[in-house]
Amino acid sequence: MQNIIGDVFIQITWPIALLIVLLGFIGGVLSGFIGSGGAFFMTPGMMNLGVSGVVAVGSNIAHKFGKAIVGSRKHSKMGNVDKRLAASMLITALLGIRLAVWINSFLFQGGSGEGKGKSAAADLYISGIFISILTFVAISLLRDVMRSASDGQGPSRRVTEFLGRLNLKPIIRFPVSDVELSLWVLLPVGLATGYMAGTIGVGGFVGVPAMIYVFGVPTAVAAGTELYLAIFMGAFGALNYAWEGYVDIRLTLLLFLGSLIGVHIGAYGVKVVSERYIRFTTGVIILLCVISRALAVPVYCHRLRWVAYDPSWDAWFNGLSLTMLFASGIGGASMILWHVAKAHFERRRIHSTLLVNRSLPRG
Amino acid sequence: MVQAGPGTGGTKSNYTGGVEDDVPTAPNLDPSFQETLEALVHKGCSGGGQVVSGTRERLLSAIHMAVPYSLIAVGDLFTNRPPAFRTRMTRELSSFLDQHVKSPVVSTEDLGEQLRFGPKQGLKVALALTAVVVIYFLLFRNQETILDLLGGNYHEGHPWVAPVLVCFFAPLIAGLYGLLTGSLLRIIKLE
Repeated sequence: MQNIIGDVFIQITWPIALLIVLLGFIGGVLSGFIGSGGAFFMTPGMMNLGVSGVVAVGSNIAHKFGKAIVGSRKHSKMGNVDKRLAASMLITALLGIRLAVWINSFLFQGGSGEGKGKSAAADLYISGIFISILTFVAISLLRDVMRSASDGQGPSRRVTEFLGRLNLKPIIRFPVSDVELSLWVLLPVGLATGYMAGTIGVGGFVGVPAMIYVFGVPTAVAAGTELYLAIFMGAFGALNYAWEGYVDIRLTLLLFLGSLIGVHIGAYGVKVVSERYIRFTTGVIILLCVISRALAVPVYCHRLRWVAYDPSWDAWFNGLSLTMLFASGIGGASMILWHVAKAHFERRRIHSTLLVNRSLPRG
Repeated sequence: MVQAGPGTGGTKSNYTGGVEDDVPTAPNLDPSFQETLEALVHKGCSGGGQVVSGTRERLLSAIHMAVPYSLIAVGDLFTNRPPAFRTRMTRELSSFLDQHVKSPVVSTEDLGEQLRFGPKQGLKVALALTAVVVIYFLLFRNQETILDLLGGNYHEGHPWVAPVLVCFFAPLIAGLYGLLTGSLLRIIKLE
């Protein structure tokens, strides 16, 4: 038991359990608000609490699998799920996940040393991918906010129109999304989405923008279809990571405790906050998460003996990274909660006024 | 109460050979619509309705913007069309109404599920709560055994057990706990 805990899994004490529930809650609020899975916050958060990167990703994919089943039902009822499009992307998405699991497991198993030293290579790889992709996403979002402030237009259709002109056969028609797409465009996007979902658990950050800007799918359908796709990608990713022995079901269940409350609150927040404000907040939170992850990189480099410094600095880097992550998450979630509470009490006040008016005798 | 006519939502009307009526004739109210009105009268509530034929813009113009509607319920629309087309057109109509009218827009199916919280739902929630508590209690009481199945010595000999456990418990807990949180937030009217 001690070996399992030291090498692969962590000892979960009450404070750690509460912090994981809090991570789930903040991740859920951000996820409901932004429309992504929230892994960009939960995965590094667990890594900061001492969970090895590969177990954090594996446990979070299992969490995403369960959550996507619940979330996609709602989208499906609203007609936001294009099942045909999801099925077409799934073929290569599964390949992407398998590739990601293989690389993560290889780096983890190939690590020398015991406990945390063993996972340093995989942790560094996961952090590197995380920083590169999320920096791009955050900058794109913030640029989009600045641009939409000046021209007020919807998503650009330049890439969609360019690919449409190429007329690469075979072309498949998707009646729910009302688009026609070449199979040769679908396959690489599916592969990239699956690879990102399998590596850091944020496939939606590739899949959703690609569906909007490359395929020309309406935004609501892109989000709903990605969530539907996440059921199968999550199931396949969870199966693969569990087969390799890297899913800690305790972490998955603790994340559920917070995230399934948070996601409803975040989704309510979308109704009461403007879209531009949502994008701006998302961009800032993601950027802060990236900085937090970057602060943890020297620790992994030190464990790999690529850099030399006083080992006591590790605690400082880790502490700073954790503080920054929680500060950004708590700040973002508090802002959303404040808007939600304000709108909720305002609604109740109006409702009570209506009830009083109705109960008054009519002249 | 506004009932959309057959042509609502941008569907093309039948070819008339260029002969158009000056004023579109409204078809008769359908029996279920009539029954709803009668049920409202029976309960002592006032009710009324109209049939609108034409595009979704015509439907919008039939809605009085000064009236604080509590809810817009979207029923079964475009029923004579293929499923994919029906899904898309219903979604677009809901989204159009959502953008133009300051009232929540829900499907009638959703409405039935969300607004009814009777003894049956109460029992469901109680059962879900019990199941969740039991599963969490058992899991955290038997952490050593579970971790051995997931990544310990037992896992080395039987690696298939871990995927079965994860793929069974993750959606089960998500479903049960999701039902609990959804019901709780519905009770405090935060949805």
